Amino acid sequence: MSRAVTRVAVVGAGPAPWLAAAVLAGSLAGSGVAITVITIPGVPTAVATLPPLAGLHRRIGVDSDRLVRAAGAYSLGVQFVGFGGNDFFVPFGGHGPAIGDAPFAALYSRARDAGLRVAFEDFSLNAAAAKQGRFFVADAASTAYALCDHGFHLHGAAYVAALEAVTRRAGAAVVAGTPVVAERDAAGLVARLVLDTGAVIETDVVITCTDLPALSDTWTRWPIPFDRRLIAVGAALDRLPAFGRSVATARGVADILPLVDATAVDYRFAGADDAALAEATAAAGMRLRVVARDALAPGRRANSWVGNVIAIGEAVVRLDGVATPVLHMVQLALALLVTLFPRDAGEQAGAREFNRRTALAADRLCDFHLAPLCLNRRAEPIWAALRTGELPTLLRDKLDLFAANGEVALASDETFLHDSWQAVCFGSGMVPARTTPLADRLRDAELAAELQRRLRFIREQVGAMPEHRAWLTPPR
Amino acid sequence: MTPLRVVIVGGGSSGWMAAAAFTCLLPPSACTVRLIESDEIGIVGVGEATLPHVRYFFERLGIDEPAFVAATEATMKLGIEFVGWGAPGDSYIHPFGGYGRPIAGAEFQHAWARGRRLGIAKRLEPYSFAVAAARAGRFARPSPDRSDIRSTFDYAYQFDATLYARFLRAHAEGHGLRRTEGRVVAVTRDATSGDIASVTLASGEVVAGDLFIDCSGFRALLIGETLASPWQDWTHLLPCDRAMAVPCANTGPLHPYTKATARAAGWQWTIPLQHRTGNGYVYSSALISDDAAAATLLANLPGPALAEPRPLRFRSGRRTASWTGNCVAVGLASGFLEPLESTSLYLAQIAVTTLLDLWPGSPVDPRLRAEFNRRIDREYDRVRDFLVLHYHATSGYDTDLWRHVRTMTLPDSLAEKIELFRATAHVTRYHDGLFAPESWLAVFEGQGIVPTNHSRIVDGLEPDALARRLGEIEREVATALTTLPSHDDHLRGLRAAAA
Ligand SMILES: Cc1cc2nc3c(=O)[nH]c(=O)nc-3n(C[C@H](O)[C@H](O)[C@H](O)COP(=O)(O)OP(=O)(O)OC[C@H]3O[C@@H](n4cnc5c(N)ncnc54)[C@H](O)[C@@H]3O)c2cc1C
Repeated sequence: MSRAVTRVAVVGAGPAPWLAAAVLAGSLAGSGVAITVITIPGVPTAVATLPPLAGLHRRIGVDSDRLVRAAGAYSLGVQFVGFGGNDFFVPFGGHGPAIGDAPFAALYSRARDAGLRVAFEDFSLNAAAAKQGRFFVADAASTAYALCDHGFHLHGAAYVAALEAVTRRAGAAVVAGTPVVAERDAAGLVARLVLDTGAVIETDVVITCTDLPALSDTWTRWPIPFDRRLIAVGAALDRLPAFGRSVATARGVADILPLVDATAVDYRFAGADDAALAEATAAAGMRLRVVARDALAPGRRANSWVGNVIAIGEAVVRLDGVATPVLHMVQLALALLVTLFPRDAGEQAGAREFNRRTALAADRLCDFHLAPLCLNRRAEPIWAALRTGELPTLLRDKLDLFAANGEVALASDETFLHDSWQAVCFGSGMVPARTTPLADRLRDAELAAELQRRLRFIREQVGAMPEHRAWLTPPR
Repeated sequence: MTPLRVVIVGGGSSGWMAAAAFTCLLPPSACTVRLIESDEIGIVGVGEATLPHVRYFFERLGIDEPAFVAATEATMKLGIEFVGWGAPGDSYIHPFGGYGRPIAGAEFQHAWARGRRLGIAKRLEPYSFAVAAARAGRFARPSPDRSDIRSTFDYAYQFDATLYARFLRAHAEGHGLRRTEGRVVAVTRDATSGDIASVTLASGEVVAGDLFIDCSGFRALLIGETLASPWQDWTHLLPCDRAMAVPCANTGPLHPYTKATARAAGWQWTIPLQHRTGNGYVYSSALISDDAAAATLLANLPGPALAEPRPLRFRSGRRTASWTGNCVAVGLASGFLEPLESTSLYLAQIAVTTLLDLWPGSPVDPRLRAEFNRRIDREYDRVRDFLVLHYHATSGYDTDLWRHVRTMTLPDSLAEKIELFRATAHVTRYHDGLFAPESWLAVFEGQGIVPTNHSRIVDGLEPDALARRLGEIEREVATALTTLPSHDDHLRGLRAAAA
């Protein structure tokens, strides 16, 4: 028995369901699909986004800059603090161009072996600007040097409100409530969601950003020991940084997201809650107010599209920490979904591809998230265990190869590419055993002069950049 | 640090590609490179059609296009024409380029698939600038302006294999390569590590090395005969195992593409070069004799034959570890996928450039070897699937060969790809490596695999608006085409530039 898909229910809390509904409403309007958003309670205090999300915002009509000015901040990358070695920066941007045939990372390795005492991140415009409280939007000069991009830190509530406005404008209906029962038709497909309010939503496809009674799939656990989470806020930072920080503590990591009018802290850790606030306070270096405490179980759902229920975002990927790109997973899933969206409720034509690709992307994101954790040099048992524990095969291979010669072994469906991996690996103190001799053609003096020229270029560029806060003042 | 002693065994296209790259791109402090080849044994002497990637290789090596084109009698290649594959008598071109432009925020094929079902879209060809130029025998370099339809393609070369090896040799020797003429008669391995320590030439000379590059062709002297790296055979998927090759005289204008014509026991290639046309019949020895193949080939030449047909034997498959111990196989020694999509020189190029990125010391770090083999395997697997698709999606000849390939069990990776395209018009784009979705699209459509559905994004397009848009793209292609010179004129221009 076939059932044409004309009604789609999108379920969830926070920005994810709104992003999904806005994209689907925009893309499928001409195809006769009506969207209903079922909003369940719960809005994150703050979210951190990756650069590509700006493109999605443009597509659905969200003015990112306006949103940031009102309720957020820009982010040029993430700084890792307290992982046992030097602090290091993973920028949303590159570290400078190759010289002829020689990749920059290899040249950098070579120069460092020869005594250069400058961190890899010092060749990143993003990192240099961020660390000086500045912000910039890529222009011709910076782009000629490296691709430079930025993400956003956003107040959850303001972001949700902005997304809700465009979603409603795109014609989606909105219902508040939590699905408690999923009724199925004779073919075993979900036909109706019954909400705790008593409302009944008829639907042909369910897209869910949260756990639902209709989802009963297995999860793969990720080897991350943090099982508790504390969300807190503090005052806005004076000289507003345009970057997030991940600060390691004796038993966890606190993500610190500066916002124009507040600082959001997401502390995930292993063990009891007692000392958590004190630890988060120390990590953030400011007084904090607790917003929520939660349990955590980092992992990935084995299959995200089963029958006519399609899980995205947090219903598929649970990573610890807000600086982790769950919204990016939503974006990837939506790109696939609009292409593969079923016509019939039972149609599975796109499911295998959707499940395969989202699983690959999620696992690669997890690898990237794990890398700084397992490269730590801290002494506490939990950190030692992370360092010596079993790693996913592709991550192990990647780190092995980097240790061997500084190359990055990219697999398919990677979100973070060479520059990001190099930033984590060099930043964590890895020293490749050798580098490709493609980097050896340049003479020592030439290389040294070129690197100095680049550092000077960065100094000059950053010197001319406005302070981050100046970007957040509304234009008159 | 003492330079790594690199010994390349073999002076065919792959040996000289490796030699030219190592000598041009690595400093003398990193390595000394020696190449050993045997005139007595000679080179395979085919392998004349390429993929666009070869141009990036030349760019890296500082090879000048006009000089190269003049020295190797090269022509330009915009794609491959497949004659009689989908069905007897039909023809399509797999271009080095895309189709149309995105419509309604979706890739072109979605709006196109909808248009087909509404009866308002043509077959794919008229929407591809590269195909139009190929069919018209015209050529110009792609426009750098991304908004211009003339930017929507890429190109490769067709060249004389013997002249190509000679050209690269001059280039490498100009950069200080040391070449030794001689036949390798013995290989000595290190007793403890099993690595290759040296090769001994017929002259008695012993050539020791740290890293050995096996470019000895099908013989696989080091990787196979000496190190016995296991062979993964793909004959059941790609059953052709012989070729008969013969050059013929040119007649008429040179077409800027390679031609692959399906025949009862395989297929025939036609590769136009400036001074002659290369031809060959690739066939299954289980089906016809060498004599019959030669007769069929000679009866189907576009011009008078210039030599006796020359037989070649091969197997489709690959070494499971192209890099074993301190030996890296490049070219035919590492594996072979039959020449239907001109991928062999590309695979040799990838092996060379990957090795540059993963350049080892001595002894070899096994982590580098593992990554090299992973990357090379991925390339082979993908090319294999693409080739198998050509054989599988056919309906013409009813011989054992064609019946087998139509009904055989496909690799899962390919079966899923076909199923997905049929059901959704979607093709996955890889982060790197062959082939792009546009290529899959060309072959799917060209051989009759038609999507039964398309993205719902394009449902909202009014049929009239869609028809208008498709018409605009078609006219854009046709109008831009008139601005291109003929391929022959383009070649004359290149020759003048080289003089
Ligand atoms: C029928 C056919 C058609 C093809 N068409 C294409 C195509 O269109 N496009 C494409 O990209 N590729 C094509 N190829 C593949 C292409 O020909 C090869 O990839 C390319 O020529 C590289 O070959 P090679 O250098 O690895 O081996 P060869 O050319 O065979 O060279 C081997 C070398 O090793 C030397 N050698 C061997 N044994 C010894 C020894 N004992 N001592 C010293 N030296 C030794 C030989 O002298 C020779 O120099 C085709 C192949 C075939 C069979």
